[in-house]
Amino acid sequence: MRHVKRPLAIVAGAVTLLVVIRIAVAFWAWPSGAPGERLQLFRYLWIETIADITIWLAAAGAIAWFARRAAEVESDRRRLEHLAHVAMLAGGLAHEVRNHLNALGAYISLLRKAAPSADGELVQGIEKLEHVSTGLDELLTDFLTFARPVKDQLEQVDLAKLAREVIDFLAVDLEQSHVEARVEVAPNVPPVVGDRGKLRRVILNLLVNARQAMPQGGMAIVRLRPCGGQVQLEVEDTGCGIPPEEQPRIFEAFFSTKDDGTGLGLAVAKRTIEDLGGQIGFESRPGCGTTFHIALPTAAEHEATMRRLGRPCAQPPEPAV
Amino acid sequence: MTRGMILLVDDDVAWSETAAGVLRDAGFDVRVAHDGEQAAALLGRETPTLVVLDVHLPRLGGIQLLRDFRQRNRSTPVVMISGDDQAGAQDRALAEGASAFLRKPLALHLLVKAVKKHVEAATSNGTGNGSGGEACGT
Repeated sequence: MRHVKRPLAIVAGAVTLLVVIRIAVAFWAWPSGAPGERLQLFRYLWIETIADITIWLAAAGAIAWFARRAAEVESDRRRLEHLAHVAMLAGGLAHEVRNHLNALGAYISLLRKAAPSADGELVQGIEKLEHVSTGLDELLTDFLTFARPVKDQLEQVDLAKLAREVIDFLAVDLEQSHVEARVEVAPNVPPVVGDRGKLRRVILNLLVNARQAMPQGGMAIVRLRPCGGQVQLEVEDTGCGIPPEEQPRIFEAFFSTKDDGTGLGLAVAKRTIEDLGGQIGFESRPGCGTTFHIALPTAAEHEATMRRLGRPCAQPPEPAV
Repeated sequence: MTRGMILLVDDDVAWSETAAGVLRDAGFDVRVAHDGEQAAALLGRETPTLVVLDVHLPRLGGIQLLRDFRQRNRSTPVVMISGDDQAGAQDRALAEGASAFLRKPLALHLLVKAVKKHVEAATSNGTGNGSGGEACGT
């Protein structure tokens, strides 16, 4: 509270000085004449003093407020710097681990070649090692995407086409899980700007989550509509919903309720959307389903912002297939 | 005349033989490989109409094999299979240019359905799956 106390102490000193000066003025200019004049001077000095004190207090309040805001901004900046530093260290560590993992993979291959194929138990053990090593490698890839994102390759993206592509890719898996998936596109949905691969990953993650939330089957609907300078994308499922106690944590890195989940899917999705100046949120009712809402600036809006900031615009629209 | 040649790559010998039998019944000529290196050698010699590829393979992983194959061939559809249910593996398969992703345990009629669909798509447009991707990462 040092930054708040100091301006208040200065103001208290100034007010005391002011009162002393006023009393001195009163003694110096004290009229020797009629008592009415003395009363008038006394009133004048009194009102002046109160007005001055009010102004000084208001000024002190303003100074204290600004000082506190500045301190908050400074502490936020330090925290972000610290986080960036930790992320960098973690990214470096992940790279190191991956180097060792590659060596491990090579040795596992050698071991497999040397192992007599008749020894079923040994071969099974080696296969398990291979499986664990591949799993670790995938976890590291996910983590590195989160901790050290590669530079976005920005281009104009047709979200409807992307959503259809993902649903087509997952079609048999969805059918097997008795999930009916469809895309509902409102007329005149403009393209957005983003990294195609990352946006595709966001949609795929939301659809895989939706399917996993519906073990008995159900509906998954991807909706797209324009809204002002944004495109809204919704992924709705009729699944089991997210329990209220888990809802505040679902976008946290490494938070997962699945046995084999890395807990990075939604964290990466949130980062991807927010890096593009968009928002992501959800509403969920346990037993009824979950709807994820994403809003992304349209390509036109994005270009206008870039022009204002004097930065180069994204590439022209992808060619139609 | 067969409907095309399918390369089925899976280290689960019993499952791959059953799946190969079902695909043969559906009119396809099927080759089977049980590890990544064996599959890579086969892909170096001939080009199948479609590849069914397990993600987790001994010697050379399915995703790596797909990546290597896509350097040379961008049109042959590749259907990925995995026993894991992680969006990460599915995303990488899609990014590397796979046409579909199936999860084990898998009903074999769905495998046949997926194979037929992508073989037909590839032969009808003559240019392949169309979802085949872009370069990934830097």
